[in-house]
Amino acid sequence: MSSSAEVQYSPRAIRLARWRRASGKLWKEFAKQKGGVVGLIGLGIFIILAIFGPMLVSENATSVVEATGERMAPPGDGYIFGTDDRGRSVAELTILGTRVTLIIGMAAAFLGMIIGTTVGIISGHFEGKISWVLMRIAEWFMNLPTLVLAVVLVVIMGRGMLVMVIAIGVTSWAGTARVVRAQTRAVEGRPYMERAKALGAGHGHQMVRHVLPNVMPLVLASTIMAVAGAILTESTLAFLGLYDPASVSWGRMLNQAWSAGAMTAQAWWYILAPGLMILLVVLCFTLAGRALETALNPRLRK
Amino acid sequence: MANLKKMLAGGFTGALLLGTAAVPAVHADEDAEDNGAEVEEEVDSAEEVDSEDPDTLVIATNQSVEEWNPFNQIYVIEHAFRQLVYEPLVRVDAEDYSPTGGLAEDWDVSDDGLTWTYHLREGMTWHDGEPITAEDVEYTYHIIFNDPNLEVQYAAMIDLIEEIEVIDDLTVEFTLNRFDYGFEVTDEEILPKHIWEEHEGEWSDWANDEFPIIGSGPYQMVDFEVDTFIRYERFDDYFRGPAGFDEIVYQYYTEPDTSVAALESGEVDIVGGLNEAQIERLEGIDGIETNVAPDRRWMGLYFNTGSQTADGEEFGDAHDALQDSQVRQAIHHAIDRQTLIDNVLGGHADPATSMVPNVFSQIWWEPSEDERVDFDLEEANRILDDAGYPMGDNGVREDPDGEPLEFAIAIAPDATETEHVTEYLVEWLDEIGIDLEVIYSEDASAIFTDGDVEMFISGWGMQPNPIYNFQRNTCGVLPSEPGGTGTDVFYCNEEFDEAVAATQSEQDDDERLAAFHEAQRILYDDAPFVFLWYPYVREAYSDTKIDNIVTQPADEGAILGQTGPWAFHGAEPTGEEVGGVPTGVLWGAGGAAVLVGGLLVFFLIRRKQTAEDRE
Repeated sequence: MSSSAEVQYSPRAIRLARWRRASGKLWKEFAKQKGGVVGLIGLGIFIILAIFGPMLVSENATSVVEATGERMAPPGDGYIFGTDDRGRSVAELTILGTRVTLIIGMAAAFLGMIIGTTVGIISGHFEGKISWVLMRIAEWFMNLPTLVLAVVLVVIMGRGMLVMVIAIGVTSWAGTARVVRAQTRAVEGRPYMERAKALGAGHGHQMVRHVLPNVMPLVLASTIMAVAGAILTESTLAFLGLYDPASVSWGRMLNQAWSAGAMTAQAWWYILAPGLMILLVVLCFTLAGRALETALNPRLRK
Repeated sequence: MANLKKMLAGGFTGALLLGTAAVPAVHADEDAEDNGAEVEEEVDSAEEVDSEDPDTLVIATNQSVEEWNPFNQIYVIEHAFRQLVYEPLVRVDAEDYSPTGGLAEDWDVSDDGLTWTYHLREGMTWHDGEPITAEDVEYTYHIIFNDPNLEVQYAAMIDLIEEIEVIDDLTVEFTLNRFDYGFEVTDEEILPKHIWEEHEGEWSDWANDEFPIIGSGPYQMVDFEVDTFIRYERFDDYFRGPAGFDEIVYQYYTEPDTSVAALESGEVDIVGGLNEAQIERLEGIDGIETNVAPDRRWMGLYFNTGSQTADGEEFGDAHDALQDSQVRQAIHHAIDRQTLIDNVLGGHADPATSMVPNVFSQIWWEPSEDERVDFDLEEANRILDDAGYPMGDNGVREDPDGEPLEFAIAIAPDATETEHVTEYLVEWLDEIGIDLEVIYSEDASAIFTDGDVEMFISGWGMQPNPIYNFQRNTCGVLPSEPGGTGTDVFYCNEEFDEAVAATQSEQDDDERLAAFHEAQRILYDDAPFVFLWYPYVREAYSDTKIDNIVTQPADEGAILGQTGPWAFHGAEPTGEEVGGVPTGVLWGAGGAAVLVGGLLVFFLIRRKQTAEDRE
């Protein structure tokens, strides 16, 4: 008993136990919210689709030469969601599009989170000029229409997945920065920060060891919701014709449906399939994000 | 690029190079004229477009006008402007593109084919009332001969014409250095001397943007706003008689589906450039007539056949393999025209064999059974094997130096058809061991002319005499500086040059036809291009508003994009009010009006009652 008690007192074990307890509590709060659970299950399905999707569809789903279907044929006849203007299966393309859409959305949100958190913590920790300058930059990005800036970036840097991620990431971090800064200020006011300082902790130590762990849950929640925004931006950019030519994404499908005259031809399946997927994935991320935020923040609970 | 103008008649290049116009919005009322009637018109023109006016013809467009100076124009919409506003001495007719009098009522040629005498019509005036005389003709050529900026563009003409002489007010005589088949229909718009002499020496630098622009055509251009509208007003003293509609307005629609909706609702009367789905939809609608007919255009795959200057200095970093005609022929074998036509254009095109569209049946060439290149990937692979391009380990062939056959094609964003074709190309070329990278760029055409990519997809609108486009592929037009805009694909083949020269200098009809065929055969065989298709026009118009649509050629032809003002001059308003509001809506609106009216009356009565009651 005593030896195990000793083990429990090692700092790592304490941290682990605390973390386990906290996450258990968090999950309990999260599970109380039905919407959040539904969102999470949805996300699971989307992630499975993204990983295994290419195995579910035929090998040449994107090939125009091998396309066997009629042009814009309605659902049925072996094509659950009809065909596109190239005679390919819309259902298969939609499944393939999941991966690109999710990767770009998540990577861009992740990039935005890193920039936003860094800027937020630094400007919250250092007062004065640095903080002022950083916040003005953040405000500048916040007031600039994200989409316009992203369009300009993609046009300048050329098309491609990485460019898309960068364009969306660097235009969407400002909100996170503000939230993190506020939280940093709150953490900085706590007594243990004063103790750490008295013990000689440098700026780096304070920010990374004390502030970061405390803002992390908040950051996580806001990142999950940022994914929803990033996917929307990605789809919009692709719809406007700035898609990555090497891959299929939902926004690109919508763009092609539009230019092929799917509206005029009343080929609703061609627009509905990718459109619905965008709607669902955004909904799932938003539901899960909101639920997580509520679980983390007691004030949001009823 | 801005100096190509002539005979382009609006190529696909133009359509692909859609850019934002650099021309500022200028209103006609800025330059008031001394003429009272003129001022009245200008004031009138500042109003909004009234699309429901039965005497206004509204055409949907999405192409920006970048230049009003005819010498600098290259786009389709600018070509349309010249057809409406200016007249040449002789133009081609709507029936079958044969020569017909423009400003010249008739003309004769000496037996040796060197002296051409043109007799202008009597009593013609410019839009501002000044008489049109032989002096104007002479002055137009004075510009061409003396503006240094036009030297390259008009080199062939400057070389051809020895002398121009004004015999009297209505007679002008041209003396040529040699016989030239194409001279009869030169299609050079005659400009008003009294306007252009104010810009002596700097003609091609002048914007020509003093509205209304003075010309001689059936309509005068009175007003425009960048990417919003262009307004033309009828010229009542036009020598062929006044046109049917009071006004022609080009209205901008950025989305094709929006212009289709506008046609259905009666906001627009003619829409061109439709896609298959739109044509299918419009076919079933009452009061709208669709027009799908062969056009005078071709679309082709361009190869960089060796980007070099006239001095032989090579530039750009395109792969050398395409200088080998075997490689080009192999690619020719790897392209299935019919599949492209069926799947990309919904069957609305004919397979192309040359630069000469099949509508010009007099000189169009068709390969014989033996000469024809059919889609055959095995044959393509065999050609490459034999020519010394062995297959590498990764499925990409290598040239004799061990360089992989990795090519790039530049395409413009939003070029739906081109992109679709490219998807096929990538897959077909992959089958024959050629890797094709797609580069999207607004400057696709410039990337190609700089010699930095191997392929490009484009095309041209042709005139009955294809000489201009033939000459763009002769050795003489290789650029003096790196970056060639005068040449299509940097092609230089003396055999071809000879055939091209013979098409114009040969006086015997049979010999000349043989030369035309030979020139086309060489291009097909040596494959500096793979000619893909001759697209059909896909247009639709409101037949409740427009009577008497003239197509060119008369039997199955185009309405928009004609050479000449025929469709616009011939069109007559039916006079029917087309509000464009569908009947259902009218009933609904009527019902609503009755209801509102009833309520109003009800409340009025009630109020009256209360008012009375209060007494």
